[in-house]
Amino acid sequence: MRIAVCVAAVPNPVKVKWDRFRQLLDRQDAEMMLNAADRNALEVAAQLAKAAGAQFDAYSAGVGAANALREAAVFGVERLIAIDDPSLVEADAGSVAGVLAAAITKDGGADVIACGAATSSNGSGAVPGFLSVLLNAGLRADVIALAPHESGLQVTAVDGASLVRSAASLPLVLAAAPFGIKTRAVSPILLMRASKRPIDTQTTVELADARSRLPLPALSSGATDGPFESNRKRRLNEVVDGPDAQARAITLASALRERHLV
Amino acid sequence: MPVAVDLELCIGSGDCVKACAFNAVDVIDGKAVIYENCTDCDACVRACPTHAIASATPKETSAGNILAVDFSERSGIAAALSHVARRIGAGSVELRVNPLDAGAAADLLAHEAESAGARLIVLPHEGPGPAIAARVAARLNGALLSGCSDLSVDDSGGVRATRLAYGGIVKLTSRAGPGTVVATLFPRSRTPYAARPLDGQLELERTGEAPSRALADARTVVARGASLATAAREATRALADILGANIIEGAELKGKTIAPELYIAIGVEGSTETNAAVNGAGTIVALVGSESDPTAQIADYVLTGDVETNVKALLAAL
Repeated sequence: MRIAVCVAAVPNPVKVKWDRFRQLLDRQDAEMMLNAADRNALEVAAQLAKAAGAQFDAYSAGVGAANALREAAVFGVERLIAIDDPSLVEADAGSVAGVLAAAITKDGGADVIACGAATSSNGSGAVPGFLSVLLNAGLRADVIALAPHESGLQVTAVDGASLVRSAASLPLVLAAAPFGIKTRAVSPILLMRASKRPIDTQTTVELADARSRLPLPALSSGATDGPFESNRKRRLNEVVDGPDAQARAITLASALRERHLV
Repeated sequence: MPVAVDLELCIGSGDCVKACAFNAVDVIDGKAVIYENCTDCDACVRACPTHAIASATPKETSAGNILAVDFSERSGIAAALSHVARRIGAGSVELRVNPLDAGAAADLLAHEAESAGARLIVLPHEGPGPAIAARVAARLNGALLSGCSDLSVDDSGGVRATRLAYGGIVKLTSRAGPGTVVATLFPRSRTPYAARPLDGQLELERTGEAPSRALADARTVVARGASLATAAREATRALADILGANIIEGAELKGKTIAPELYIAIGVEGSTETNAAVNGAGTIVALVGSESDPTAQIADYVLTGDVETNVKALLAAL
């Protein structure tokens, strides 16, 4: 069984601030790190690899891929593959999924492809869905655990307020649940050891041939984004006024709807 | 007449009267009335808190049919989308799908969308929603707008979405279309809504209770005070359910830091410590006894008076 995990690098969310003087998102001081949700995917893959007696590789595309992979190496990853070139700066989920699928295909494909739920920065959570089409695989989301089962897998996933178990055939793309998975601690010593691991770096040009053989060679999210605007306002300190409790509640509900909060 | 009033939904709030620049609307006997000098500017349509006013004339470039997809009867997507459909004069098809086999669900939805001639397909942005939406978009060769807080359709038939990023500190407006657009929308109101079930045939075994979402990741948090009476506590629980919010006791906030988009404190005995814990929240609402309560000092919106009455009224208004 060949297992691949796709991880993303995100700016350290604590260091990202809205610069109210320059009116822009200040990401300059934010070092790139492994997306928190991807730790769950790595843990699910590590547990499956242990149960199946298999090894697993980690792939990352975009700016800071090497940083994310070094942290991923702590989970016992066999090979670290980074796809990093200037064309991936500000790339959308469709393009990122395209190069990840090409890299996995170039390495001979995979039976299980694990991803995190979404990036903690501007994540759409779309990469697993796109990958499942590009790699002609099944798709499961909110996955808590995997185990080998006959010719496929046994998948434990969140279903509303319950955990449910079902069978799935291979190949399978999965999005790990963003909560409910106990991941291993990443100590500085383990990180230091992991930083010495070699990373196989590839470019989109090297993957062009594999990319052209995928079912959708030009997959794109197809949306145009405007500039970032601040969503932080000074506290309004507004006492909601009205003749009675019902009128005040309606006024409050309208204000919350206007701010897209309810 | 360009706009129409749904008398069943109209609560006579008067917001439409305040919004109208042409004195073309009035509230008579508790219901909105539109006069003939209405210019179809839609200011009242946007102002109406209960979505009772809608454009009677469909826009020339409408979104075609809208396919609203829910995962449960409380996902809230069909309810939200029925308002969008009415605003733009589009038809709306509501489906409820079993998302456990996300791949099969996406393929079924893509087929249904093609059959229904849907050009806007909207799913909840929770659980398997984003992954299913991406697969549907790829199958239909459509555009994808993921993680939307609000959706609207512009005059050229394109879909505009407001999206929040980096834990809600910034927002951006995205546009997709014209053409097929698949979007995921954060569920807000969780009022039950009847939708046609389109269940997949997956054999499954229930193995236990799902873990709860971490407080640090919650988009909406409702905190309640220890001194609330039983009825007020139950109403608070119902409010959290409707908003899809994490509910906590006010005392639990001590020593923690949370930054949800919306934090509602209901009868919480405020202190410097609890105020510091929620300082990063996007919007703070305080339901307190008086304006001098510490929580009221840091809130964006303050509802004073009897907490139980206020929380029940807010529950009804949402």
